[in-house]
Amino acid sequence: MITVKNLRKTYKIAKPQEGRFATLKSLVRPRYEERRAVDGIDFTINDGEMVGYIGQNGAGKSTTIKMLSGILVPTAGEVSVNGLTPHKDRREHLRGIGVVFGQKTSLWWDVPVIDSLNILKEMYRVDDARFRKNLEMFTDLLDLGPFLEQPVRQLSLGQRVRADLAAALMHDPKTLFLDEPTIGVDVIAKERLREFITEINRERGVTVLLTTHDVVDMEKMVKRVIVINAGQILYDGSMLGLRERYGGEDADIEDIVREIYREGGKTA
Amino acid sequence: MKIFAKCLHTERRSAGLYRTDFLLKVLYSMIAMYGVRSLWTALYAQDPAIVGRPLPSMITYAMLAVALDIIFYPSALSTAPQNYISQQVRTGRIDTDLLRPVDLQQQLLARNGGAAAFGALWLVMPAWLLSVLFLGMELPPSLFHGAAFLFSGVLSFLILFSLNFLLGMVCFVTTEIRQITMAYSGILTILSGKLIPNWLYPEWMQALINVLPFRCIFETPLSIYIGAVGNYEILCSLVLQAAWAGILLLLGKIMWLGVHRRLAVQGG
Repeated sequence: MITVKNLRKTYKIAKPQEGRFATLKSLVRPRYEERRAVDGIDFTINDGEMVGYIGQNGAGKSTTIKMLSGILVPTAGEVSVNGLTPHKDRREHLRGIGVVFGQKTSLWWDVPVIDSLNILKEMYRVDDARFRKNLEMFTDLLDLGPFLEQPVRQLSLGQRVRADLAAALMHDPKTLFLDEPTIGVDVIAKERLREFITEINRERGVTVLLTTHDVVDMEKMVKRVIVINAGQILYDGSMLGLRERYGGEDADIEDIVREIYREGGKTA
Repeated sequence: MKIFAKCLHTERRSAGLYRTDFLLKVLYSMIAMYGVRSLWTALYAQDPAIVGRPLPSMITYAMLAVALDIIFYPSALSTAPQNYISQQVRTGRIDTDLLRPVDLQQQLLARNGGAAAFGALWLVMPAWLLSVLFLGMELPPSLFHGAAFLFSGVLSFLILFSLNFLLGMVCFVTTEIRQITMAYSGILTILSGKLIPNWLYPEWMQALINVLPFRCIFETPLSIYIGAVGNYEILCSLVLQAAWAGILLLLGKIMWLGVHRRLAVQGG
């Protein structure tokens, strides 16, 4: 279970100074501007749920995911994932989650995929039998076979994301955070990723929180969405409710999302 | 330790994968060894007093220095820690390292250690054997010296690793470390005994070098190998090495904790 209460994250950003001796001033006494990336959000995600987390670029999606995964310490508020506080119980927490950033790989660039998986096996202390079983299953479901022995840098983007997904799931995490997993991937590969993620969620009961800009992802994969804008939650509820609230049953999801973003832009 | 074993395994496989690179390294080491051999032979012919040691012993020292240097070379899995960190920081991929349930210092130690162990077994051993057979490399004066040399070599690696790691920490503050790295490797080349043994420097400089950790990296194991130091001194220098390794590793750990906290609080 994931619980987030009044969660905030404020970044300090060095403010360029103007006027005479600007460089000197900024060296001696740098001035900072505060930017609220996440500005008091609340939500609860139950075990086994799959939730879409959407919002414009810079809305605070990645910052939320980083706080949930324990990389960032919140400025204020509470986070709890599977009963642990991510940034406090870091090690134990990290063993229980899997994270995939669609934009960057977490595998070693110059070595074959299987070697990365082998090293991760030891880092997460996965026993041999479980590792073999998972490897077999993911190789089958994600069709890793043809490129398991290839270094990551030789893989196509679609292959790389598949390898990253497998890597994130090798230690049987209870919770999976996916930050734009389908970005830049072609239509057919996307279809496959969606099927895989849905299956993992359904068959293994893995809780999934995923961010995406792809409306088809939302329609096909998730029943519930959380919409964030300028660090605040605009909508949290079912996809069905989203349609009803913003345009009717047969409205195009893309139009709805556009409208929400515009509206959010006005109020923010 | 298991991670280390897996990394060693990966390195071994990579050597097959990047065969040309591996063979070139072997070739390079032979050429470099021959080069330093010719250099010291020429110097010795000019005036034996310049060298300050019997020629075979000096040649052995210089050739072994080349061999040891190869161990610390970047390889498929492990670029030197400072370069790895700087690359991850610049590209923003450091997030993915923070997602592992293993401390960054330990992660890198396992990877670099694996790479170094591979280098020792597959690059240095053959080069050593060939140079004993064809280039007049001497054997250590006793079994005790040989064993002490191996032990000292491991400590050398730990010291070099922790210095590199500390340099990597600087990168979190400055992002860019190329210039600092250049200065650093200059210092290392001159003060570690890699190129010029300590005893050839003027006395005031020897005094300076003796209080710095750099000489423990090359000079200590090499002097042990050629039998330039007696049994009691060997024990002393091993203790000194161990102390440096301990202090520097601990310092790296402390700095990392500080950097990590800052990173988590301020954002990447």
